[in-house]
Amino acid sequence: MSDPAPSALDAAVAAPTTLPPRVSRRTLIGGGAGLAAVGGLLGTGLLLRERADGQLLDGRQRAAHLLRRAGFAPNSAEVDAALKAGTAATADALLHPERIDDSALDRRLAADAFDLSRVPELQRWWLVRMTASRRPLLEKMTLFWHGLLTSSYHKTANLPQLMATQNQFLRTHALGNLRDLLVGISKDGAMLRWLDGTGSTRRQPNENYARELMELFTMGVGNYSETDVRELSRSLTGWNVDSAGKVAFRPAAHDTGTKTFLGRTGNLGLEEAIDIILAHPATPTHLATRMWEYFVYPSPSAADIKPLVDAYHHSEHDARAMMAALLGSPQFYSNRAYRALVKSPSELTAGVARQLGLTLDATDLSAMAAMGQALLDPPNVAGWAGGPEWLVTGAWMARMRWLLATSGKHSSVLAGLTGAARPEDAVDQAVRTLLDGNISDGARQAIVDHARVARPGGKVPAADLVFLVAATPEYQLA
Amino acid sequence: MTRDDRHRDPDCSACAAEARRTGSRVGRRAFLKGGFTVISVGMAMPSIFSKAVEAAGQPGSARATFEDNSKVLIVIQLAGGNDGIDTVIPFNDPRLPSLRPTLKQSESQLAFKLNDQLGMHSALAPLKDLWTKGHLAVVENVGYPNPSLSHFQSMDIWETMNLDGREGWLGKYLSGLVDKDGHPLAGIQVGNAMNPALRALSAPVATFSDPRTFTIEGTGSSTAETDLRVAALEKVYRAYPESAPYAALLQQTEANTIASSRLLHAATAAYKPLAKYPAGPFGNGLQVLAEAIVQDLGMRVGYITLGGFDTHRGQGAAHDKLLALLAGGIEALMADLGAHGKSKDVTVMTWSEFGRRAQENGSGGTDHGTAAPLFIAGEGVKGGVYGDPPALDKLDKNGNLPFQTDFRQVYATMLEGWLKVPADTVIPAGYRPLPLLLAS
Repeated sequence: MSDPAPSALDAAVAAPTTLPPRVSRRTLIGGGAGLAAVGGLLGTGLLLRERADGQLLDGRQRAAHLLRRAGFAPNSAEVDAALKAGTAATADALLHPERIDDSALDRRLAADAFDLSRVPELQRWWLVRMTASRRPLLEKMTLFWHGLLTSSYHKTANLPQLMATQNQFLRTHALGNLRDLLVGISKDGAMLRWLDGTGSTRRQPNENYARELMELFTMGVGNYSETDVRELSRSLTGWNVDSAGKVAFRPAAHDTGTKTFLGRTGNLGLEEAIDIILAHPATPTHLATRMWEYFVYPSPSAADIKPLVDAYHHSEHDARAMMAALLGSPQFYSNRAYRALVKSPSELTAGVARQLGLTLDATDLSAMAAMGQALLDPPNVAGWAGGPEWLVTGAWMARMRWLLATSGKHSSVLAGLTGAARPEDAVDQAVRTLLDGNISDGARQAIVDHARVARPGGKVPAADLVFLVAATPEYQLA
Repeated sequence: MTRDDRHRDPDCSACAAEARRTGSRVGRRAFLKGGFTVISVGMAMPSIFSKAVEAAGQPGSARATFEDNSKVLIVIQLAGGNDGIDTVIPFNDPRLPSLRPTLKQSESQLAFKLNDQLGMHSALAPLKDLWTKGHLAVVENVGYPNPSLSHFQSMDIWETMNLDGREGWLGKYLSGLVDKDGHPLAGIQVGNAMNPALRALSAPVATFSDPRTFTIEGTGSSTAETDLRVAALEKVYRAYPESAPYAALLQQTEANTIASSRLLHAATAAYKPLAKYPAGPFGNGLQVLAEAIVQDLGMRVGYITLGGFDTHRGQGAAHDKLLALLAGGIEALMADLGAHGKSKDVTVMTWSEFGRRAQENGSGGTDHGTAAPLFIAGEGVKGGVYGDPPALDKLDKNGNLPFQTDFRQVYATMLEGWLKVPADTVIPAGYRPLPLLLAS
């Protein structure tokens, strides 16, 4: 019954190794985003100034851009401090969280006495960290790795503490050596559950983790064969998490036979297999691309990511070195990068909380789920697709509903707006605090008009102004 | 693996630019529906839409118009790779006991037999009534050549056919519908993410799980205040420069969300389900789709995902539960629509990115496979089995099944026979439809 009609698909699947990696879609369309942004923003009313080399000129915009990407939307004090220190010194400080005193956060978390073995409390604990940590890049990197080396509490069942262990592990190694990170995550209890490493034995190895380790976590699809999947799964056998949540290697379950994996033959085990993956040229390219698309803009060129790949090699797989290359690249501060990413629900909620000085709670976590991001529960092993996915109708509606509910909460920002003499002053103040002072003329005018019409008791409708500024297209972008 | 991984069109500003160049910008239009104004979705439309508009003006146009056909297609995605061998069971195959030492049902456990070789898993008992009435087609061994064992690559192939990555097959169908009134709910995806099958730059697709929370309202605000606020929000979005990042996406999302929420909100009060749906998000989601049909909201494609089929470990009980949800959900949906006099207009189809390995693994589960059966149900369907039992004697070098029917033949069947558009306006030409629909 099959119709062997030739088609583009048949041609493509006939040679699976030549299929473009999953980033191909972003290559096709994402490229247009940046280019159009560079070419089009000037003269449209956005207060975006650029130098002849395409670099952002405004110091405040550069500082806020750095803090947004290497963390969460900053409040005025954070931007002021970064302006004073300069972006290079600020980036360097962000890259070395161990040098930053975060004891105030530690005290606050201790005072709240979170029970991290309970998933809802672990989620809230993490959201407090994103909102209040003075080491925002560490939290952002932890979120990055959580979205790449995914696990979900849905498969930790009666051992929810495994998710807390994994989250702390990711934070510890977030800016560390990638070998430590990959070896450790391969022996992580939540991961052994999530991708069925536990119970995978020499007699019958389970392919799930082996396939995703290569396809999603390190190399990208098309760089290995089905035989490599099987040989890797044999190499990883024996790592087990028991009913108490303890991870151990069971030699009897490990396949000690000879394996041939990505062209290397021997009695390979987990660490040897990871070393082979780390030495494969697809790995630094894939990881650098994932970093770039998460922190800079979609669809980087080979030239864009080259400094990251070089840093990978020179530093022997150090994530901090790759991130330093990324934050130090001229492209990071280019117009193409400015507002070129869609804020994730974590970025949106933690950013609003940072800017307004709010404390988030369980209601906010539910709202984040409605926006499409439940922490510790990615939609699948590939993590959150992100980008435009955050802006489908229902997710956008959930943003608007949350912003409306949040904008009226008491904050010093709100109080400051209420006291403004004229509606224009209040709007400009809100735009400066929330949006780098950078909004289209038309949007500013629409909000000013609204402030004139909706004046309960003759006062500036401060909550509405916060809502409308945070609801703008501009604010949905990082 | 429970849902799908996607990178939807990151941005449409390039398309907006293209639309400006080609002069195909379609302005917003207001129209009256149910006594209030709805803003239609037309922002900067890409060329496919403008082509459709042009074609509609010509006699013998290939494209369908919205009013030509009121048929609805409900697509249920079984995400993660459903084990076809443990769904439609080749119970007489002598190879089955050694391939499936634990994951097999005996003849006496089956819900019902389809013929003397194939029987339905016990959890699929709720489908028996549809089968008996001749409203259930089982298409066996659906797949494609040179199958990928990656979830994400295989989903891409089914959803977008890897053609250019921009449009999914359902989105392409929807964006090609010539719709002079602009129905913002022509496509509905249940949930808070959109499947790439529905993607198209101008396809009106709304995503939501609960109509009650699909609205903007301020706590303690009067309706007049809400209206003022929403009006300001619309102005803010219209002021966003078309060349700025994500402009077309942001503007289309805002316009489509506001319009569809108004339409939906006016309807929610009247619908009462007349069947008992399975508890949980899947049953609730099917009910949302039923509501859209019963209320005549203009839905043409409804999409819902049931996840959890990636059963590498401990497949038995988990898979039983999923199949029971699937069958119970389809049964309830059809009964509900029937009681509302709408069942003639609706066909349901299922799909999954692949089946699973013939040989079960050592964890009581199965690894990634290839071809698998799918279901097509409805009163417009000619019930029966289409295809042979899975060829357990002809496994490939990875131990996986050969395919017999190309999934694009299934798409061609639904496009030509149900949605009434030439299949080659949506998918590549050359895929023969299957004879599984009644003449209409």
